[in-house]
Amino acid sequence: MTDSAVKEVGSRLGMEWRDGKSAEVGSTRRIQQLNRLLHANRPSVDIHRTRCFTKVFQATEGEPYIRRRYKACAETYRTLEPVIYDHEQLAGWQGKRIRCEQINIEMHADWLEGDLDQMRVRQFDPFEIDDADLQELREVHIPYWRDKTLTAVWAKQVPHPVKMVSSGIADCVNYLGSAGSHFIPDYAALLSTGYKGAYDRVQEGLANVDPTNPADIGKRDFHLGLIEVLEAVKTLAENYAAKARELAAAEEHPERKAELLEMARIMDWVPWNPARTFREAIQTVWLTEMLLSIEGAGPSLTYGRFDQYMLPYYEKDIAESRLTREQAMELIEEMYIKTTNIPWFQSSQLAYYFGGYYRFPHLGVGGLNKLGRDASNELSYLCLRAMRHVRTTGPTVSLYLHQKTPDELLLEAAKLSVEGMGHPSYFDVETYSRMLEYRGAGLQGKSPYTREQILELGSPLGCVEPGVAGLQYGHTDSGIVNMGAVVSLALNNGVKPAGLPGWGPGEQAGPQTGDPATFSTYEAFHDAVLEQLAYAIREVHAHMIVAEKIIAEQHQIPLFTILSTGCIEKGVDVAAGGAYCNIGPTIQCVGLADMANSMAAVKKVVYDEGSVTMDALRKALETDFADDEELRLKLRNAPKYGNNDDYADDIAAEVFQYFADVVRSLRCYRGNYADAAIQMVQANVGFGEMTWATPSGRHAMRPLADTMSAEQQTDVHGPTAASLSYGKLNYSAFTNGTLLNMWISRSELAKVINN
Amino acid sequence: MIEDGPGIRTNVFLKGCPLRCKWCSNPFGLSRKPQIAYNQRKCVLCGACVAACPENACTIEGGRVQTDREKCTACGACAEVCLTHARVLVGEEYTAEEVIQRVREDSAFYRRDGGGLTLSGGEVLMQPEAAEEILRVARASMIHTAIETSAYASWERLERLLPLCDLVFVDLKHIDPQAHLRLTGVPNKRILDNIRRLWTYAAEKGSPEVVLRLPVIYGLNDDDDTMKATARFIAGLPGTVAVNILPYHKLGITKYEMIDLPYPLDPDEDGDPARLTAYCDVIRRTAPGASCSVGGGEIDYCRVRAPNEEVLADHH
Repeated sequence: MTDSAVKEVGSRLGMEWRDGKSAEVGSTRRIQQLNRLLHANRPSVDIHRTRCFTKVFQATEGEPYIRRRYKACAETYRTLEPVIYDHEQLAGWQGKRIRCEQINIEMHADWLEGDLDQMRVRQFDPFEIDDADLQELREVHIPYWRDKTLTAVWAKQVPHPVKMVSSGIADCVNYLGSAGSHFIPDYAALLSTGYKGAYDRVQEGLANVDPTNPADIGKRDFHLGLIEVLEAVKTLAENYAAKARELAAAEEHPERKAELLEMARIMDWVPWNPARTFREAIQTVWLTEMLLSIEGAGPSLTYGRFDQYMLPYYEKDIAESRLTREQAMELIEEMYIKTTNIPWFQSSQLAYYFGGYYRFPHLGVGGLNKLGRDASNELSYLCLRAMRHVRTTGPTVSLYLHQKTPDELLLEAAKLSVEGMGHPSYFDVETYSRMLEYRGAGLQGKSPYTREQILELGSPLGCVEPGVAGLQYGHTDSGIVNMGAVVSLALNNGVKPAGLPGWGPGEQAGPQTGDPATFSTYEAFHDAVLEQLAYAIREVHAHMIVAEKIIAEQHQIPLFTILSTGCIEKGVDVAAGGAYCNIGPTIQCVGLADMANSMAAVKKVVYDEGSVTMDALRKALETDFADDEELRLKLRNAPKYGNNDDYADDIAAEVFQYFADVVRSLRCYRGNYADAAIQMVQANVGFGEMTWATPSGRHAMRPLADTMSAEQQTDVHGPTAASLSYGKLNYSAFTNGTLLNMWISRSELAKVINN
Repeated sequence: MIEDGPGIRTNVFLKGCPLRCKWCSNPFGLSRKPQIAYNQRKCVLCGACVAACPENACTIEGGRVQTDREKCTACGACAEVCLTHARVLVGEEYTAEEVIQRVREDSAFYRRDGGGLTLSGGEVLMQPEAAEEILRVARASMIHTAIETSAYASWERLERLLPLCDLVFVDLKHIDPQAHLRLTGVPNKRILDNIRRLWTYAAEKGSPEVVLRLPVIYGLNDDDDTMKATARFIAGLPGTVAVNILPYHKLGITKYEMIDLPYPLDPDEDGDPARLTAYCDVIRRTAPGASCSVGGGEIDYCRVRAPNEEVLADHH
């Protein structure tokens, strides 16, 4: 094909994507049209929430934070403009446009000022914004908020704020930009009582406030605030009902008119009242997901065990012929489209690590029920199949696997895998149940979760973090430690290599663990690496618990609180520690294979074989192997993690365990212990760019290994050998979850499935 | 799509083959001896092999390393120093126990989907004692066993392995004795006899499962007469005959280059997929008892259950 032909085809495809034609897929025409609508829009920002927050905060200067936060949230929901497009059945859009995100100004004002001009064209995750909104942000909102954001307040209280957001070694930028995140509401409870149920409980709590009891100071604000928020949710639904009626009155097509009137009738009833049908239930769930995404700034607002809490409504409707399977599927597909419609608005630094707009919503099927029986049902199949129809990025659909998972369900999931979209994720129920048993409890203790709670309400949230619906709150991808960079520090006596971007090239970034030339044994080198690793973990933790305290005091989140079991009764906001089980801030690692392979290569080449001196190795690394490709190949040929070779796998297993042990020994502000995870999605690329050449034979600034996977191009003995290596790690010690990506040739998988 | 048996399997290739099929896709299996293979695409011409070779068999000429095959003893010294793995030693000696150790590593995968061990080659029957020992230990370890063979050996040799196999693949390269000799270097009488005896054996004992494979090579064994004669032969075999038609492929061409052998067929020619389905049709017409598939993907591995087993299954 000639260059011009390539360009022609490319631009035609680009245009088709731009108008969404290529995305016109789905099980019905309605879904196809909605999917097209979704993909025809570029991500944009809306400043409605920002305006409400500025307005309320300016009017309440000096009042308690909880009162101001709750009022601002209520104002946001009460005045959110109802938007309804053609073809829709489910009501609810989070902004004035499709793929539009509300800016949480109290998180973002500090960095936003400098990046505002770049917003439409920045390298990762550019956002469209109206000129007038841009100007208003610049003139009104940013000046008010820039010294009040979490990051700005935190930076005044910690020793190394710049290092902690841009050193590329240990980092908490995600934690600072994402308060209000990582949560599975107890949807079963919400559906059974509606928001009205919560309203009644808040009223009861208010009646029980004892103004003479010092423990009840602030409780009145708490309850009055929640009442206002709940009334605002009710008003929002009423606004939608009115809007639907208004559109119905103007609608000429009788079929669509009837649909709009039906939407109005549904919004009259839910989410305020208990859901009576599948349609009402899914409407409640969607509107709640949407509101949480407006209230919180962070990712991983999770549907949880959708096929469990929706089942009673589904079965009843099917039995009473109110609903067909096809109609249920259509509603699920519409919810997937709406979910994908919510982008993640992140700082430019964070987008560098987590680019792609994805906000990690998660919906799971399968698993066990609280009696330990297989919980899969017809809805499990519908949820998997709906994703094959609609092909959206969100939500992450996953299958919870166990010994009793029916082969048919596994096959249904595998058929989705063959589509090559990364759906579904597969989780082992036994493993995440064990993670939950020890979650947040340190090295000695156990979590407060009972076996029944774990089985009935437990599921992964976000990408892979284990959670329990309604019972758990806390940020779960908070701190990141770059294991590749840690190896560099051990080889440089704690100095960050010059020539790297970000904070501190050439500066002392870790402890002085000694000149590597003096390491006479592998053990000496090994100990230096672990010392650097422990230091990086402790340093980021020390910075995060300060932020945790600020979040608890200044970043209350009313809807999360309402949807958490027991918070209303306790009278404590979930950000301040009201949850049944508090979690995080957690610490994740990136570059596991890079660390293991580097240590294995040093052990092999420098100490076991003695064919290269430590000095020669360091010189070669300094120049990024510019003059010594032979040495690099030698390092490349040393044993590598991911080939079922104990030489490298044992080292990987050891550092994996060590990381978890150090993290889990650290205590957080709200009383729980920190949890370890390895799930840093595509952050291996951004952190790779901030990492110098490593003894694994990896060149400077190249991507690190992906999550727990073997390093790129080094697992040369096939997927079974790689799996056996992965099987040697102690997953349960990573109480905040583990993520393994494996790429399998599509034709191979298709072959197996078609048999 | 070529299958070596059900599920995830470990395939052990035994080196050495008495046949010289012109379309052989694995020329590494022809010679019994270890060989040095050389992949020019991976070579950076560093000369480490030239320096390491104790026989002075390596020279750099014309932008590649030339190997004097007369001098090369396949000691492996060059492969050991080759940092890019352009030179590798093909063929290593293992005890049966060492082989089974490697096979056992993947036991966890076999359990899930009925996978296991497949002995292939080369020709399994060229190393009958080793094959027997490996299969015996695998069987004792509850690992599913399969062999792939040309059946070109004495019946006794093949028969000794049958009680140790769950599944046997046998190739029939050509039904005509003259053509067989011309295309593979050996006559086919022994092969045809062994196939008949094998199917009789399997029908009488109920095990192993047997699959007849027909490699279809454009213009060499896919004419109408050959198809019909083959189908008549199949019709004469006892029991239901599972036939697997293998399409011609050229994936082995690089391997010829790597051990300095010429590719025996025209590298630009491809098979005609239409002939494969035509073959299937001829077999289905002539041998209605046969189940025929193209490629390996559709073989039904389900065992035929004895009637009383079926009744039991219904009750549970």
